[in-house]
Amino acid sequence: MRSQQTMERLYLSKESGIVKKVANYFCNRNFRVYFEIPIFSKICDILCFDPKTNSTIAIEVKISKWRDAVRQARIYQFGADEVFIAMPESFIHRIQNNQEIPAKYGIGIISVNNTVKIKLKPSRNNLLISRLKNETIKSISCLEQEKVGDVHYSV
Amino acid sequence: MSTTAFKHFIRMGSYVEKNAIEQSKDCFDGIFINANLLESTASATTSFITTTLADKDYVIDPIPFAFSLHQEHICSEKINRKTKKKETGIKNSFKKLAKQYGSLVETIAGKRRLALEDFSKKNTNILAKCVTEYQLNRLNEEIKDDSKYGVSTTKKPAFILSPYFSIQSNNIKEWIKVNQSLIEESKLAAKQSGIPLYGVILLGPAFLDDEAQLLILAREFLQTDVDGYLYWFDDLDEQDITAARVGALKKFVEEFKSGNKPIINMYGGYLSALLTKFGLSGVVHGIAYWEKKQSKPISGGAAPPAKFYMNPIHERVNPDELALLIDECKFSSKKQFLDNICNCDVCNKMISDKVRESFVLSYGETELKIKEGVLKRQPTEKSRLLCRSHYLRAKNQEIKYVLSASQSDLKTQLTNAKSAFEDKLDSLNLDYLTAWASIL
Repeated sequence: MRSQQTMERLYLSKESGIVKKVANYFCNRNFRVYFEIPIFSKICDILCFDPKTNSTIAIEVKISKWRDAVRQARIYQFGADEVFIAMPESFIHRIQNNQEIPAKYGIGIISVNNTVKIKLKPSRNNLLISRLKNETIKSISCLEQEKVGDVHYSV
Repeated sequence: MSTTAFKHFIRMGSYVEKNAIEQSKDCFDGIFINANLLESTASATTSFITTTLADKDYVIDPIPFAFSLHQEHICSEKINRKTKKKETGIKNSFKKLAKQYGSLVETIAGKRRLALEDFSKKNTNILAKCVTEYQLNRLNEEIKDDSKYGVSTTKKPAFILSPYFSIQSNNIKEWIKVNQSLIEESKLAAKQSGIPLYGVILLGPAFLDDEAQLLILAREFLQTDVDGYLYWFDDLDEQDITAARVGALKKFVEEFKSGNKPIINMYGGYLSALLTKFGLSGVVHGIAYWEKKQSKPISGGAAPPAKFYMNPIHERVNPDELALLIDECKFSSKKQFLDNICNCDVCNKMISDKVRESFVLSYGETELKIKEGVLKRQPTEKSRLLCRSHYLRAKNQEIKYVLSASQSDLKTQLTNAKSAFEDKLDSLNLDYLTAWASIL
């Protein structure tokens, strides 16, 4: 099963710990969580989908190189309602020192340590193109569901 | 385009490009066909050139240098039908070419590469004669073989290329002599046909680091006194070039101008268009690729990704990058896009006042593909065609602009584009614009 293979690969990678924790966080908030979903020209690490509200959250996970993460995240904004960058707490100061950049683009920030904390809430996404969002949702229907959470996502 | 002395050629890399070429026929003067493509799609390509492109020039690039490369570049693996085992053999297109390039090439093809010592007087004469005749007659032979084209008159190439081989740095003098001899030996066959003969100069980009040697080389080729010349700096990237190399290239072109000989770049982009100001008389490129090319491998491989040619910076960018740029620049009307990025027919048709959305859903349109269990979005055939059509129109506009603008205006455009976009295109280094501007 492809999604299991993806999970295994991600767990083995450096980013795997962060991916797992962030995925669990959103699963526990009633989102269906998928991995490596294409949005426009890029592939996002985590895509969360709430079928009740038809809303989507794309998350770019990065160990460091936050500028690359911002660039990737901006492209996800074309096809997802909200977009976050998730990074280890130890690196978060780098992005927080430049918080005006994610904030300027309406990108949220997630800090990951033993716990997952939303440091900056995403604001209105002006880049969203509804057809691309629909295509993103269509993409996830092609994948087997990873997990279904019971609790609504909240900050 | 055909009213100007400058010749703008498209190099067809694959037959799938025919739609884009057909739709943009008014954007170029002629077409280059590599001989291996002609051999692998002889009937279709001949039909395309003699009917669809009947009013356009054509040139066959005989790519003889392919037989001086390691055999792996002209060979492929095939399954032997009898033994069912994999075997490596010369590709059919090169096998057909070798047969037509005379006994020397036919004997060595697929077994070993051509070497300096192969170019005896006799062999040079045979090779030059065969390669010249190939270019003169190949299409018409195909027409004779198949009367369906309905072409009553024969169609001859705009000019013939002399057989050419890379001038290798370890035997510069010897390889120059081989190439000069091949030009000399091609003269007779060309003269009888009445078709102009162009000598070809294929050399490594490192030659641009020694301007004095480069100019000596130019003068040596000029001594062959043929109708014109083509050059190809192997894998020279115009978007990754120093000002010093641009300066040397300019001098190289000027040398041919002072010798009153047309000189054409076989693989070039906007820098080549700028060089018209110093005597360059033509440029050849593919459709959104082959503005640079390595001599090996010979074939280009997979189709290039669909990218949008961004006129102000004279470079192709990913549609996602341009979509973000539209946001950064706050283009909120069609007019702003047309004024600042491109106003070609295709952009005029595809871009609306919802600038970002219309751009993404046209040039950036993708479709979902599942390959080996992995989801991926790939450009649709429609967006690929749009990018190609836009590219051809943008190139045509560029050349018209260069021909009509002053050097000072061209310099200002490059400088302005750099300052306008360098902070907004993270993935691109726009220093090449400064290097290009240095000669203006």
